[in-house]
Amino acid sequence: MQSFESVIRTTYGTAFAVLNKRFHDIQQVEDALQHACMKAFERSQTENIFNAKAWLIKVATNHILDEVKKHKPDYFEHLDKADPIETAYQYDDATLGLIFTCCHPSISQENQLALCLKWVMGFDNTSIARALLVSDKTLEQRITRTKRKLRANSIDFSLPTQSHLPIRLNAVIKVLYLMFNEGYFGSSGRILVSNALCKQAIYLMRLICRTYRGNASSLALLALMLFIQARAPARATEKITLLENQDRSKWDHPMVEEADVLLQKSLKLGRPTSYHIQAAIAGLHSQASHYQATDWQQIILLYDKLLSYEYSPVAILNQSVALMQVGSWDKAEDKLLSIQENLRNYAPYYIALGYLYKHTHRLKAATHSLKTAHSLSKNASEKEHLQEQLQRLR
Amino acid sequence: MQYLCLIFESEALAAQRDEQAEAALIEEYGKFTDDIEATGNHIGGEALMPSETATTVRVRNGETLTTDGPFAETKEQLGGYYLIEAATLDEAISIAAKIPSAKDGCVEVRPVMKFE
Repeated sequence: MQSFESVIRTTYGTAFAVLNKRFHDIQQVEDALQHACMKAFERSQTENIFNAKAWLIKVATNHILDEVKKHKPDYFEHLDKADPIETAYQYDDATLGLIFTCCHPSISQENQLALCLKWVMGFDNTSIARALLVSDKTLEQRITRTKRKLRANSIDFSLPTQSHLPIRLNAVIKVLYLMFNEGYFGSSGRILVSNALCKQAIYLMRLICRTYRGNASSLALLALMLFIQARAPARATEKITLLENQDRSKWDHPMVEEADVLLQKSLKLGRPTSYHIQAAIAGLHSQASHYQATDWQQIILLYDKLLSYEYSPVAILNQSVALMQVGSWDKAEDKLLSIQENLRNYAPYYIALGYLYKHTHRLKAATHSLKTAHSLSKNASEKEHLQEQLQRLR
Repeated sequence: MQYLCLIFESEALAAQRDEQAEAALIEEYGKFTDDIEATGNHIGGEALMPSETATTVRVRNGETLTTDGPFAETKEQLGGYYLIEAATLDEAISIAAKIPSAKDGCVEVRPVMKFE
């Protein structure tokens, strides 16, 4: 049976877009969908919801019509009550229009992400606030302000024109990238939620690749997502299994192959972007039969290339992990120490540092680093894993 | 929809421009203005005298108070504006990006409020 979580994540955005296009009232649509999601939850307890998208739209539409009839009878008289005949193509267009609006370049990236999580993914404010590490009140203020900005600038839910497409598309891709990362590497640690988020980011990325053919960045990002998502079956069982310990036979190998084809295709389309490099790195991991067989030298070089595009402490952290795999402990240590200030609140940083100290026989320092990682980690299964490692150090 | 493009640039930087650079900039502005007039986006616009010529006016308890200088001391100062007509914010942004001072200063784009 399809979980309630994945029903909502995969249907909410389209339902929102379609309803908003018909009724032009965001508040009303939000309320109606909240009502419909509650109904969906009740129903999912006992039976499967077939064609959840149409079901959600239908229930929410009826709710809106009822509300209008009750509170604005004059307006109701003039409303077209017949169900519009919508094709899948129109659903897609409405969904794209919604994403482009949420990711308008005039909105800060943080608020673009918040709006996407709310309108495209259907998360409630509390969950979004938690994911973005802000208070509920701050998030609410930001969303209110963003809605006001959209209204003041008459940003409607239409698709961008050809001449504005490149800048608009880049913004959308970046947010989908962040959304996928939040799903895969996010701090919540709720596997069910995370997987639905990743799947939906991939679905939307596919939609974009289909609509805007021949866009190198989109294809490269889709490849990157697929390379990583292919590991999901081996990664998330009851708790998260690290890449080095995953049973690689459980990986989705057809998905890896598809990702590889997409990456090759995207490389022919123009100058490689940072998504290309990241996809190539993920691809090298996917091609290795086991962790030790990974082409670490190649990965180290690719990180150099990635870092030549933009400075990223997390990329340096990952590069240092690759350096440790080939025994370049000194280089790895230099790199790690150079990013200490940037990543002082980032658990994976201290995990890498702990690994380095352990393998260079500085057990006291290793214990200290792993303890810091443990206190910083918000992920239950990661905490458990660290606890085990700490016990082994004693 | 009408948008006001407020042009901010560093007056300190502007003071360093030599005659030749100044002439080139004026020519660039002239061309930009011609362009948006031709496309029908232009409604109005002016360059302003430097911020040191500003007087800031407040009325408190019925009394008019004036301060010598601009409202806020910032790194970049308001140097001029364009009032433009654009179909979407996208269009307004791409027009603002062509304002010559966007290259070393910045342009704030604000929708004009309509009273119905």
